[in-house]
Amino acid sequence: MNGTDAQRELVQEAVTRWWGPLMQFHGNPIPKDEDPMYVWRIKSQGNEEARQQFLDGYVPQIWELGLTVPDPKLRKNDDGVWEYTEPDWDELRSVVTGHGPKSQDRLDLRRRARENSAWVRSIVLARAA
Amino acid sequence: MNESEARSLLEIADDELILGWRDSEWTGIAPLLEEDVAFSSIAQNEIGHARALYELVARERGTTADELAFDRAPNEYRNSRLVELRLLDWEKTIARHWLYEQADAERLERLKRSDNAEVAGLAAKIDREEAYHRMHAKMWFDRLEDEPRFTAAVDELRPLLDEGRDEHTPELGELWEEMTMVRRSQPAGTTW
Amino acid sequence: MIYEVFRQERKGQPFQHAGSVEAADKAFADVYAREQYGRRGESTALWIVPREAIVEVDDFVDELNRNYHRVDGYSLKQKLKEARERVGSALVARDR
Repeated sequence: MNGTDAQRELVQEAVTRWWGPLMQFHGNPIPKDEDPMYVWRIKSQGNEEARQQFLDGYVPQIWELGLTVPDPKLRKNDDGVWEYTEPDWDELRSVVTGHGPKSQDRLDLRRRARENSAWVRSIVLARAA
Repeated sequence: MNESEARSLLEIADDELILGWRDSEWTGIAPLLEEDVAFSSIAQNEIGHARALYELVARERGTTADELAFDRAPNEYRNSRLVELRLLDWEKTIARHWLYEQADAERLERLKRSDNAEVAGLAAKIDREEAYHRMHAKMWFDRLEDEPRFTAAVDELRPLLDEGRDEHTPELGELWEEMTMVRRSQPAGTTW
Repeated sequence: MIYEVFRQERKGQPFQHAGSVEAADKAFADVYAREQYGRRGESTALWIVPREAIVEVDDFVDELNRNYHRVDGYSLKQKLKEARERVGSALVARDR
């Protein structure tokens, strides 16, 4: 990786900070047939499949760049499956149901924006007829 | 390219960079979901235009586009008052969009006639992309032109089109702080 | 209003249904379709059609099993087999 030591530290700090959410990103390991998102073809694969693909693609690159990941258990086993510390699924559920640390701020911003722009929608829709 | 032409290109580049930044503030909160995509896309185009223009001037001056875009102090930017204001009301944003696109079209026409082939060529490319921006602005103008708050916004903002290039508001300072924060976290001259 | 969007991948290819956009009128539909189906250069052209302009046909009737309309409707295999058997038994009868 190019750059100064300070820049490398910026990158490492970002990887460390984002690793938790990255591991949660693909969702809990629900079997795909039980996942409405898969059944309705919004997702094209199961959550765990997607996470394994993500790890396959990115972890070798992360390591090649000389960066580390804050999970001592992360490794690819002999069956080609990535093992890792189980992400905090309760935390994820809490955040996606609107109880995250910034959820209310984000929702408030969007509610205010939506109220302020209601007049726009009424004009745009009114003349559509 | 002489220094006068370089300054004039920098004016446009600064306009596009700052306007692109302001337009991107609507991402996530535009009045319609489709507009979120469209307006964010326009913002990206504007920053792309800024970059192409900075690169032209940078070659002329023996520097880099990044240094031109980010390493000047706020009061050294050459953008107009119109683009640096934070205008998170849709009628004002569209008024600005409509006014700016018209003025920019005329400006680009002049540039397309430049003796400098590179400048003329880039102006033509940018102009072809801006055709879509003008289409979008007109689309909204036709929808809002009977709305009093919109016509009031147009009247209020029109004088600012070509004003304030030498003297900036605190709003530009705030924008610049945010825009250059990561870059300034490292010593000057650090390559990114 | 809903507009259906058809996209052409490359010149000369047929237009294929890609999805829809919700828009107030033609002008909005044009802009939004460009964004959602073309901003990454994935299409050479788009057709944008108000959904109400589309005529849907889905009531194909074939009560009498009109297989004579289809290429596979006449099965010669069985008739050839029967013909061979007839000719075969006629030859055998002649040669007796």
